[in-house]
Amino acid sequence: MPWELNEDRPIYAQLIEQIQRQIISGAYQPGERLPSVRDLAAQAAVNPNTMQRALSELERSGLVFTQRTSGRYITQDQALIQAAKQALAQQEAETFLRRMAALGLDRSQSLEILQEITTKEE
Amino acid sequence: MLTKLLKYEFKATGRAFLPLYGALLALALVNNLLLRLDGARFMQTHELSRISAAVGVMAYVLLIMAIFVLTLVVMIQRFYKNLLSEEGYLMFTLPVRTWQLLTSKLIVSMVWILLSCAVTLLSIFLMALGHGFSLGDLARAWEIFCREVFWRLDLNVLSILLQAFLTGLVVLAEFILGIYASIAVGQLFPKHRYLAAFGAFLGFGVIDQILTLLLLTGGGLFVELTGLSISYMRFFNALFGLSTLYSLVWAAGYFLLTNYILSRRLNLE
Amino acid sequence: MEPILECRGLEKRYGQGVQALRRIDLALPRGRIVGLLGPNGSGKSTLMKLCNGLLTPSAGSLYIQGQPVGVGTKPLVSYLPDRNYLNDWMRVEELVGFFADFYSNFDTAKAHEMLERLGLNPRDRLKTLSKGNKEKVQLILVMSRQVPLYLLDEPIGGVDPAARDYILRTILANYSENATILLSTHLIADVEKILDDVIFLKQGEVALSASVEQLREERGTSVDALFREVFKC
Repeated sequence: MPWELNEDRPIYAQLIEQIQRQIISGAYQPGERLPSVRDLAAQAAVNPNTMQRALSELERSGLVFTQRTSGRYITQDQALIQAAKQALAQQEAETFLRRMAALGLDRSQSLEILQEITTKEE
Repeated sequence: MLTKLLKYEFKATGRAFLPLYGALLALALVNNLLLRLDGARFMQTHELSRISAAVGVMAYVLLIMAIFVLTLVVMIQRFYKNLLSEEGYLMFTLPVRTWQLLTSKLIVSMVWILLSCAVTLLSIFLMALGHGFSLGDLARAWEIFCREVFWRLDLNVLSILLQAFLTGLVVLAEFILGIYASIAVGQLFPKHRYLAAFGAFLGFGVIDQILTLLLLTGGGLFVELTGLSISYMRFFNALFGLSTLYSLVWAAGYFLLTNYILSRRLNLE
Repeated sequence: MEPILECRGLEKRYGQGVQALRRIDLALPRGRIVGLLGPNGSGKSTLMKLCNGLLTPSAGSLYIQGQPVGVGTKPLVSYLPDRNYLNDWMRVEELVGFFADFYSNFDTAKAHEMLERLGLNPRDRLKTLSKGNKEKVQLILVMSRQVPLYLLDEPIGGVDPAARDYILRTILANYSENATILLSTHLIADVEKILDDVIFLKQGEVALSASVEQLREERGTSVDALFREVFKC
């Protein structure tokens, strides 16, 4: 997966988000072992200390855990992954609504548009 | 570390010398044959053989000149290009001391100069062999020379030759180190590197000339005033000994100066 | 902890009047990737050359791991100059041998692995390589040494944008753990995300020295944008 980082936000925050997305989408399977910090940093072409910081944050949230000797793994706790998915979906939906509001559409109008699209596709 | 430096220095310079040496020896053999053909009376194309022999000898002389010019050029270029241009960025970041860099360059330069002389001599023999000349003749000529010069003056041949060789080596080292020191001094004047190096070379030469003259005059005066009378052997001993010492002092001075500039005043472009 | 690189009142003048660096005081900690940023002629290369003893300081002092710059510090520093410093008659594999011969901390296997990954043939003579490939060979030789301090002068300056990320990854994947990298460039946007800290050099003086994440959080701007602001013409 290509890593896309932009310039205006702290990089570690963007890294956290992108790893979360990979876990939710199943690119990283539950229980899978993560590459080493250095390898991940090299893949993303970012500073290893920044990657370290992002992984530490992910550990705090429980999505990733460390086994003392063998490295970092993705959690097997499906509930936790589901919760993260929920949170991210919520965030995306809010962003959508904010953008629609910026276009001058209120919530019901936005919903109408969504419904229109989904019925068309069916 | 010095041996490693020597290894790479020989590798870098050998590429140029070895093929030329090979060519010179081969050409000497070819000339030997051409001269034989020319000498043979039964040849009908007399003109042709004469011309080819002349061309061969001319090529041979040019090749010898080329080898000695190359020796000089390589000596300067290996020092300047390898240490003071871009390649110096590598050489001066190696974990070696400056004196080791200098010593490796000096030794390798001396070896090539000596080898060039040896190969040239060898090629002359190769060319001359069989043309009314044999190794036996050479031995006889050497014997006559010894009888007329060394024995007449009551000199120890081996001792004189050894001393002459040793003095030659030291003078050679002095010459090479003098060039290194001049180039190093040139580095102190970033805007006029070449001019300053040339000036330094001339300056060192002038000082050397004046000192030599003073020492010779002083020595002569000393002998005259004291009415000293010594044997020829002792005279040569003194001559070689003192000139070796004199050159050694210069060589050491050049070495220390170059070493100081390259380790304390280095400013690569 | 003792800084890996320390400058105290470091100055460099060239001939009369040209002041390349003035009173530089710096201390680089271990385990950081530091960007040395500034426009052309701001003194970046001069600082790097001083750290390698290729230039003699006009005033002040310089220490690598507490030792003054000299023969003793050469094994500690792996330096990539901003120019081609390799002789061109050797084959790539001979150059690898040369480095292995002189540097005890050189990893030959790693060098060959990197050569292979970057598609370079060890049997080729340097002479026959393109400019970009020559630079890659230099970078591989420099990154195959396991040292506490890497000084990389314009490592991505000469290669096309597509190769830049590749080279940055090579640097990231191969520097030894807990080592510090000081990397000079004027292509800030390209290196910004690999840096811990930045040092801005402006006309031979340190105009700014800070951590990148701190800059982003406090000023809410990228280093690139800040650079344009500081060095506005």
